[in-house]
Amino acid sequence: MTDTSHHAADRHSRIPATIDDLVLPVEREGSSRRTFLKLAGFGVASATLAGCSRGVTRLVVPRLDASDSVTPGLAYWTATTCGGCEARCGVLARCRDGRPVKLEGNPEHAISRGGLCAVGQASLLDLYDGTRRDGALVRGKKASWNDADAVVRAALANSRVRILTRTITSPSTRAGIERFTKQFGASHVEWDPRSASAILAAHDACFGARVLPRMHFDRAHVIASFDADFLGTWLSPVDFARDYAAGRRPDGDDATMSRHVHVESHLSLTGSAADERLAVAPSELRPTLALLRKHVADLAGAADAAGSEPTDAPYATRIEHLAQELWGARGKSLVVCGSDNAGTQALTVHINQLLGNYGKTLDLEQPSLVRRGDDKALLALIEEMRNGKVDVLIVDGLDLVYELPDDVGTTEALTKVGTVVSTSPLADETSAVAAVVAPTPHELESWNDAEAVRGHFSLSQPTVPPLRAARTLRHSLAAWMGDDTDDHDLVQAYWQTSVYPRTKAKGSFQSFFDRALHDGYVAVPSPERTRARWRADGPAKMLAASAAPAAVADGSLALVVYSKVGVPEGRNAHNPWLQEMPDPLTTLVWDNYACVAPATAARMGVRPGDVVRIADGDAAVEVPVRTLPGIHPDTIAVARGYGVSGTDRFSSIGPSWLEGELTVQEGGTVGRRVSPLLTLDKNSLRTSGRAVTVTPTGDHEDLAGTQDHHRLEVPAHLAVRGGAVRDVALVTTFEKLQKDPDHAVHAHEAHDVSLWPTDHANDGPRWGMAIDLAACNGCSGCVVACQAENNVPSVGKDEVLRHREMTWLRMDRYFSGTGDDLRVHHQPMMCHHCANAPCETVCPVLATAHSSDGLNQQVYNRCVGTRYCANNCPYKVRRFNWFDYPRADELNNLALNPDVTVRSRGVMEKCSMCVQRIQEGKAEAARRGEDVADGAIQMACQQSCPSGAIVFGDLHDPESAVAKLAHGPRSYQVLAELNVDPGVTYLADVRNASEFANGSGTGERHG
Amino acid sequence: MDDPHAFERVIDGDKTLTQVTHDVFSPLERRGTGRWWAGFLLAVSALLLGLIAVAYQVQTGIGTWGLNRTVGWAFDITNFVFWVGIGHAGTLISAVLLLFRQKWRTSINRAAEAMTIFAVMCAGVFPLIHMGRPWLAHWVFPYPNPRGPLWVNWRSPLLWDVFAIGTYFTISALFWYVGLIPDLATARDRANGMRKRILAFFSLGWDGSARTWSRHETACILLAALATPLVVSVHSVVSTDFATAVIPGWHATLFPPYFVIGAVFSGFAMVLTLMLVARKVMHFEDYITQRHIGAICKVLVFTGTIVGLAYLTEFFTAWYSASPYERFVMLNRVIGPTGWAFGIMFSCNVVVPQLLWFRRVRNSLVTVFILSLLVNVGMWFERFVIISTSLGRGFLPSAWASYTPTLIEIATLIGSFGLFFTLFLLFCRFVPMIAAAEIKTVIARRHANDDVAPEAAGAAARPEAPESSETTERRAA
Repeated sequence: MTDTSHHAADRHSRIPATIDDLVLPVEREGSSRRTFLKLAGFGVASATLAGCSRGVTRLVVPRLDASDSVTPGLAYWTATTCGGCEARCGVLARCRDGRPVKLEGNPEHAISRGGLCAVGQASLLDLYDGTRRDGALVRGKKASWNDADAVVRAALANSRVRILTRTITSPSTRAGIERFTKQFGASHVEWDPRSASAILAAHDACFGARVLPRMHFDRAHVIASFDADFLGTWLSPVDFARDYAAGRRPDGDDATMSRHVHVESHLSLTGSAADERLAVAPSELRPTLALLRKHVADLAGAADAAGSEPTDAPYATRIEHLAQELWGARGKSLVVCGSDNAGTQALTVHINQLLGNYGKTLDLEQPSLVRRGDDKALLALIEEMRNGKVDVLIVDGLDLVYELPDDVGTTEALTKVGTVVSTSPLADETSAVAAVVAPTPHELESWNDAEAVRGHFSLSQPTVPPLRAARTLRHSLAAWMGDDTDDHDLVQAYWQTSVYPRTKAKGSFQSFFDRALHDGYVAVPSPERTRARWRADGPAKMLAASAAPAAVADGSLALVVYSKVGVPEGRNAHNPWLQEMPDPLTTLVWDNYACVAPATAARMGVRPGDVVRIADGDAAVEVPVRTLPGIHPDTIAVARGYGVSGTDRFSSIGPSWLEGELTVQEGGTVGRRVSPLLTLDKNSLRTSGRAVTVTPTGDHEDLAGTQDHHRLEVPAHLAVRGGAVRDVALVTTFEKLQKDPDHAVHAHEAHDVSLWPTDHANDGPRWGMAIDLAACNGCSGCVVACQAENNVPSVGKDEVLRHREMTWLRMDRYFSGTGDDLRVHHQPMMCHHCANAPCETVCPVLATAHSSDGLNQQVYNRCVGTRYCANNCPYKVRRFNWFDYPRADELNNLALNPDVTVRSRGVMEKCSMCVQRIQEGKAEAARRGEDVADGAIQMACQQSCPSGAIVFGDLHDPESAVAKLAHGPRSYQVLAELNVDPGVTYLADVRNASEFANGSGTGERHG
Repeated sequence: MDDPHAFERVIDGDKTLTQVTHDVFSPLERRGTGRWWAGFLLAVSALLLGLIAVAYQVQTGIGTWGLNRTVGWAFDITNFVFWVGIGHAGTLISAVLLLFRQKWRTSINRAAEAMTIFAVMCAGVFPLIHMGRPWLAHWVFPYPNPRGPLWVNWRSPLLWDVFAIGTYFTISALFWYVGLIPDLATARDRANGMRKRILAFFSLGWDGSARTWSRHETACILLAALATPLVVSVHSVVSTDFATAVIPGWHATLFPPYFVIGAVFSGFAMVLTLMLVARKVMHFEDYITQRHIGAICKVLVFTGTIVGLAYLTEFFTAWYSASPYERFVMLNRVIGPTGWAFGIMFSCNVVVPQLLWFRRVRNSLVTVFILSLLVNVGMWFERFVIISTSLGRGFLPSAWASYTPTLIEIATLIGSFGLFFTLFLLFCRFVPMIAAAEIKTVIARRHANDDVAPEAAGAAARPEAPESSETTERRAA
């Protein structure tokens, strides 16, 4: 880290004046070399001028060095904060020529610690979304900010004002809202579509503090998760995945591995990583927890604490066993629950309390601030609106009409509000009825701050001049209060008055703030204290206040509305990278669908793709069916986040040709909106457990997925002796590994004898990767990271249906076993950079060749496109450019990585092992006259991985991390028997499960 | 073949040399018949359809084909191997049978050679258009260039293909042309005006002298000797496209002989198809006789049986290899999702030709015609099965994918047939379809009273007393 004192002297920004400087206005026709140079010169010159045209840009402190201008062609990093969700991970934006081209996790951010999920990676693309609003709207018409502000100010006078937002994680925004509410006597309602309202309510009842404890999965030796997809979509997945992986290090002398038991109705990403997984119906979740509480209470000698909650649950013996395990690890265990039922959450709180986990694995003092939304408050607000008691409603970050079930009558309630003010940057259903729209900017083009865990602050700073005229909510509220302070000063003022005094920083505020901007993160002790005191009667009261979900009647199924890892919410629906990210469990893209157990589908007489009508009363949704093992047979699960209006923008995302189908019909939506089937009862918005009838409509729709065969076993009728299972994703148990590490993994060996001399002998480095399948949970952050880094196009649903997805890194997903012994394997698969590469020998024109440092290189210029290399690739990781994929959106093209060629039609491509990063690392080392240090070069996939599952380095250096892993006891190579000598080594998956729990298949259910 | 003279009596009708000249050359001098025109229009339409499809594909991208990340070749290379295979019979008939002095070949060798050339042309189209960037196809040739120079990859079977197919086409075309010269001279002598001048150019000043004959025969024998190894080498090389790959189902040392025999098999089937049509349409019943057809049928049943053996050997090898991947691929081929294609292949190529053991079947032209078509279909499917089923389900189950052709691919396949038949029908109209000069040598030798050496082509032959048909029958038996 360089000294930051120079920042005071250097007030020039790296940010070009306007976006027009980024898109060089090279004339399409008649552009000569001379005009190009002229314009290029102009672009660079103007890029060196400090921001002056659009006001918002102020001092930006670059991370690594402080040259006073953008050096064309050289990347620099700016620390900022991810705006993808409320977890607000720290990111470093890799910028080129004054714009961000890639987001990476900020390793110095104490919460996210360098990881970044798929949503975060993809949020870069949202910045370059051309459909974002440019400037304010008054009654749907473009208006100046002054006019819009005048309308709002006039409405604010002497009226009942309500602000409805998601959880506000920005402390400066929160301060702004408080100031605003005070000035106008307004009230602020927070609500989250993926609500943790029940958890907050349970803690309120049991501890007298409405807080969301921060969970420490690394400290837990036994983890019991009840429907909480903490590795995929729940609260703060990057933080959790880092912790979870830290608690599961099965190798070496200090090996430790937490035991993870997962109970759920749907098959979630987290469930697929669990050591033991139990499928229960949604209505069985609460009794299961009650049963667990009963056993734990017995063990704790507090049998009377168990109360009278029904404990009629399946898996009785396994739950008892789980209770013993938890009790054995009391204080080092963790029970988490994703239920929206406050009673169920109260049971969870109670169990954790009995186990003494509070203060250890659950932190109330430094609680998580990612969810503060209150379902009840939203309901009260809607009631107010309906009764005409709201004059001004400011809605920020929420598409209320989309999110809430139709029977709530949101639109009608909104029409009864005098003035609806929306801040939506995209045309959504709520802003369509708003009188004033004051759009908010993208996180990467604005100033902001975040406090996702109390005391952990991070800052956002613009990485690019504003691409759209927009204001943050904080800025707009200030404007409406008559305060014309700009947004940067609002943030800075908050930090000066509220953050800086709490630190023990010695220097001036300015140097503290500069440092914080530079690092992107600062830990500041919080004066706030959680006043939490255990109330023994809390759980019982909560249980009494919250009705247990009823079991569904025969003939109907229990609906679970879940979030997908790729598109967790409707706000992510406009991102093509996320839409095309294969779901890690179904491998499907561009759609939502009803997941049912294969047996359930057979019982209903439907096949995958058959459209069914899921109905309860008037509320109905029609979606195609997808069978998914592991899901409880009485459950039907549909993902939220689809059916978002305006997603027909993707109708022509893919190539258009004779037989090409549109990804989405004009006027249609990607997937279906499932909100009509949510239940808004008096306490909460229920996402699971609703009894629905499911009837086939007779329609059929093809679902586009990247995998046709889902199991490690080949189809039974084709299983030859010794070949029934493809042993490509190996798994062992922790127990075996402890007993005999050298024989825990049975892998194929390469045949050492060869008739031929080594093809590519080299003394220098051989770059390679090691991928730990025990750490990998399949979250697919790497998939999107790779797509962003390597300019991989999105090709649309039809092309994926034709198995022509372009992703260089794919997340293979296999099932093995059945029923309660179902095992899910995730395996990142990319080019293996074989030393004896089958692709290299067959190319007639030498378009794929071996580099001197062990890379298998694809030379796009030379490729004539015979596709022989792809045919001969045993891993099938090569991707062919079937078409010229649409690149007409010039704004979108700004997301392209300038270091990576955009491939043309007719050429082959594949994972290059981020050769541009290797070259950069080598050049950097050469500049310093050193060898490339181990770990100095990071692959895009590796950098993104919250679990640290991917390690890159020099296989020829015996001291390198990758070489050590590649020779470790768990290492194996996929298809080693082909003697291709791959450069990618896998470490076998490890599950902390005894043979009893997972191998016996006792078939116990209601035992 | 007990009677050494059985095949020497190549043609029926006991033709005189003049009659032969008339029969062979007069169709070229008349306007095309209605049937010819109908066939030609159909063929040209198919060709046009194919051209449109290819133009669209080159304009839009290989994505207009049904290929995917797993199945990178399907119709394209299937068609390529199919058409290369078709060519083999022509070379076998013209070169190998020439070297072995099998005189019965004379009445079909011209057409068979033409078929070879046209088939190789059809085949050659596919490696070109299957490229992602066909406009850079010249990069597969090793020529001095300013890129280093950057040479080609001598290890790649696709490069071997370039040479194998290039050589094959060159030799076949030369051989065909050299054999044509005496007949072109005959046509020249019968023609006037522009037509005469063109034919004069192409007959290279043929004067029928002993010297021209002698050099002609030497050239023919030399080219035959050059072409003979090609019968084996070309399809062996083509088979290495698959055999040298690591993909289960391709990776087999059996492939070269397996492909060569398959090629001969399919080629003879196509010869049979064409000859049966040609003799009917062009009224060459006397030249392409039941004996020719019978002989081809015997070749078919022989090669078809070997092909069947090759199929079984593939299964044996897969089982014997103990490789689960190989075993799986073979099983998948038979009872997997594209098992129906295997069914077509096996029944058309192995089961159906066995009917040809029966003389009654061989003597029924309609049956033989249908059988020949079925073999053609079967051999197309053989290549399709080898290529697409092996690729579709390889090592990693996650990457398994199936393949469905698009309209563009089907149109391209139809177009390749269009090209073939367009060329063939043009050949029928503009080039003597039967090697008249060679027929005359056979007739001349057979007539004891005609003790002169084979006459110069174009010279009037004396009329002969017709032999009784009973004698012909007796000798045939």
